[in-house]
Amino acid sequence: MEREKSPMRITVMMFIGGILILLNALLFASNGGAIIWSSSAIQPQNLTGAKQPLWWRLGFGYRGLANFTTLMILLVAAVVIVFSAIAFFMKPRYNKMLGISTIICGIISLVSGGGFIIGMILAVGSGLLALEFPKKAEETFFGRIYRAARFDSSVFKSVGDDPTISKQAVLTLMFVNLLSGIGIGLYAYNSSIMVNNPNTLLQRILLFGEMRFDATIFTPPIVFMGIAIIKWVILTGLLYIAALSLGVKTGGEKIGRVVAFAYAPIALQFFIPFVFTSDAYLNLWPSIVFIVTNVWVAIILMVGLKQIMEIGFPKAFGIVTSAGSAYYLINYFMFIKPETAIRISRTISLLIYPEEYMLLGIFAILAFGVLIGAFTKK
Amino acid sequence: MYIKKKWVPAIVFVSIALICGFLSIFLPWWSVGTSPEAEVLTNVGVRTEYRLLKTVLLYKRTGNDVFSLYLYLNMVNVTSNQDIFNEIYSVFDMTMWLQVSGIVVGAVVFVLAIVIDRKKLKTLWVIGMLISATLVLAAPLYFMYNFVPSISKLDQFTPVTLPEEYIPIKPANVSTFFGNMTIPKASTYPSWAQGQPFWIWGATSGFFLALTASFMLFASTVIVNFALTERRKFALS
Repeated sequence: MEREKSPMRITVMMFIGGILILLNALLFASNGGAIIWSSSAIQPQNLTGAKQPLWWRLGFGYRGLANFTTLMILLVAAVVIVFSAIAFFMKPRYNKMLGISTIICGIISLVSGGGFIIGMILAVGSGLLALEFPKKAEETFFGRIYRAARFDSSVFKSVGDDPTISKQAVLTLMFVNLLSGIGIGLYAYNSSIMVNNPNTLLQRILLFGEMRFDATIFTPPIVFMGIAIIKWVILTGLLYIAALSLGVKTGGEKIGRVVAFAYAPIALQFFIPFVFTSDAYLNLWPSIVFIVTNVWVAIILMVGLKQIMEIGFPKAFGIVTSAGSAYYLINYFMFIKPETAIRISRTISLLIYPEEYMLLGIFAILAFGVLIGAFTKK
Repeated sequence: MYIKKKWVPAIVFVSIALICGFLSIFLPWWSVGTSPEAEVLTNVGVRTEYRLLKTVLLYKRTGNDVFSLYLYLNMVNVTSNQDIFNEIYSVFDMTMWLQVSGIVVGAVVFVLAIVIDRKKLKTLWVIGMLISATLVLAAPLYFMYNFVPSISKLDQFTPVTLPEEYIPIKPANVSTFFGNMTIPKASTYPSWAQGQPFWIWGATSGFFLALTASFMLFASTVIVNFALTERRKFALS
């Protein structure tokens, strides 16, 4: 096992995360509520109606929680993270305790906006890295997810070759879908509230950063984690069949591990509820996030399969697009199309309508594959 | 060189704590102002901020963040009643005294911790930091329990004319350190605003920064302890 030489990298991440969380908490405290950045100043009556131009806002923090007790907890959480950074540098042997405290405090900071999101990512990331210290950061759970997300092909070499990583792959899948489910659940719940209360709650959510939630928002994370396994098996199977039919021999287990790590960008769907738009455009923002994250996953898959199968880019493209198209159609009929899908409450999905457009898109991608020679057996 | 490197994190941590404590003196500790709802409804926002340096900042801004009024007042100008003035003044004086003495104790103890190379002083240093942290914590707590009873005796918060559509507020309405005055349910305001706050009051950046400084000073006792342990280990080896 390669060892991390110094705790400095993790310390810096923790420290910056803690300072950002502290600044965010102080701003949240002096603001007395959510920090709202919007595309423009708007009158409440202009928030509804199909003819209104697009308006969006980015909100940090939950307004109803700006009370003394919560603020004290937030300040203590920020101080604990900064303290953990310094203590970790001085006493790295307390890595488990300091890592866990940083992760917990990073999650708590979400109440005030998570250190403008970046602070929370740094805190949770550095906490996860600290837990596995002195293992080299690149070989840790968080390190692998991060490397996969930025198309680092070398990570797939180790992921493909090392069967002991299977457990980490399943954990990644669960973790990513948990985050995605929370984000989608919150967005879906608040969107439906806005649509049903256009004269009261819509203004409060959009203009003042109110966020509503009840027990039902936990449905998507739980269901998503369960479905993730089914989707994972289906996609792995389809990729395996596509690879075999294109004359590439490889192990299904290898592909499975790569697929699990390729799901990493889906975790970004957690941040969907930070942005809301005027009611006519409520579908726009999650659609953008869905498209970006799924295209991202497809590219990671191409990079990963290219690495483990030792094939060229056109063939990797062919395998991913043919298997991906079949996977999308199965996913569409099982979980998206209103008439045939399994009903899951408090969720949103990308519905391309009319269906002809969806088929046209699939055809265009596959035609491009034919042009670049992706489907030849040579 | 090795010892110095090991001291850097402790120096950074305690320095941040002391800087936070120092900055809090110049930032507002309590404010009363219109809520975001009120600002959207009336297109005008008003806020009055009270600072430890016995100054009051008053500003009025329109919906486009243009300040139509930005006024720094000395506390003397807030009331003509000498008794009320003395009472408010003494609250600020006491808070300031606690805050400054806490920072000074912390700074002195920390400089000693770096300069004097004696292991036996460790306990003294930790106790010194604890005293500093307690003093810095006492300042906002004292302020929290004594400010509102004195400020509520004022005739008005803002010596300016407020827009007519504003729901009037008097200092006597403020009975708690944190609070708000809501828009009545049966009012002419739109339904989304009814029941929502119009005026909000409570602690602000300076107060929270002072609390942060005290938490960090408490935590620094552990950090100083870490640094000293490292130093002793190094000396033994």
